[in-house]
Amino acid sequence: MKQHISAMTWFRFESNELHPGEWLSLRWHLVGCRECREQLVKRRALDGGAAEPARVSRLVYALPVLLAVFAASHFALQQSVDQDLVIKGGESHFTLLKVQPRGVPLSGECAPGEVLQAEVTTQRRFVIVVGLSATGAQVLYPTGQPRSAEVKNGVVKMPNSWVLDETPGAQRFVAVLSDEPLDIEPTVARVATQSPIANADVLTRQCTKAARIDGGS
Amino acid sequence: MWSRKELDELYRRTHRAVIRRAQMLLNNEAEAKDVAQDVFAALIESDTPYRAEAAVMTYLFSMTTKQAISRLRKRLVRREAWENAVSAMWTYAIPPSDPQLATEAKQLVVRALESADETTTQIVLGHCLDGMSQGEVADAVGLSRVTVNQRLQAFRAQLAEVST
Repeated sequence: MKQHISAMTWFRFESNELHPGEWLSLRWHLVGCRECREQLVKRRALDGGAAEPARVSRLVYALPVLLAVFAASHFALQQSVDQDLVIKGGESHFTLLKVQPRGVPLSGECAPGEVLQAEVTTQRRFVIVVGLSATGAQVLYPTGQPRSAEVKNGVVKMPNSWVLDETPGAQRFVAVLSDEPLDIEPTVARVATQSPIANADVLTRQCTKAARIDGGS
Repeated sequence: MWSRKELDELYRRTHRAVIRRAQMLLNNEAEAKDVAQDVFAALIESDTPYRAEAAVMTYLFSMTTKQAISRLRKRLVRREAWENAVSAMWTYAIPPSDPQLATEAKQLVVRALESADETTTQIVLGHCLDGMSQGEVADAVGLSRVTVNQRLQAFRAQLAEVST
């Protein structure tokens, strides 16, 4: 969300109608946008500073608890002005969001050509993200490094986005979180064979990729 | 037809957002609450099956904006009130950083809006001052995106005339 939060988005936010991905995008935007944070404060002041309705409370969404806890812990770390919404917590979360439509979380199904970005919140100090598909395992983050990347301030928003290839079948994304840096090569090998990794948390997100059907002749 | 339970639930979820939206436009809490009452009354009377969440939200947002603009129009006799209302929205839409430029731009928009019809006003306020995308505005006013774009172009031309 590069632009400021629109009136319609505020309206849906205040009605607790944002989808989890949109809600996350909004909160990410608030972290980096002073003007919108000021507007949030001002809007609350309009009706005596009443708290927002419970966010992501409706269980019809796919990732309600995960996202609420993720966002809350993220905000605790960011020490946002939004103190009344902060829930302290230290669990690790691995979220994959679609770039188009922006901020929609990855669901069980995905398609060739879809572009994804990952976010990790964790108290662990190092992270590796690996993509696994029918064609094999590939390090997605950090690229070109021999060892896992450091997590700063408990949050990593992966700088690169990933385009899903044409190969149909299951696509898995694995985040390996550890307190000590891990060598990439043996870690990827263990992820590929689903072997345990000592002193590390392994978080997995998965989708099934259908074959592209618009190929013509 | 809405059931009593559905209406209660919808009101509980959305009335705060409706009041805030109206208050942002009107700068007046009492009037904003009146608008909210009118909006929900209109929803009950409309008897339209806005069952999809997105459609209900768009309807409520659009109706709130429309009712608030209608009240602003009635205030037009008091130019200052209209200007203040636009100014409040302008503040949130992040105007040019140069204060003088911002003031001049705001005055231009106000002058051009005075002679614009209600739908164009809603489009301009939504897109130029509320930061909504053309698609969002199109949904809110019930026009196609192309038409919204055309209205905006026409308004810009009108703005250019006012500024010369």
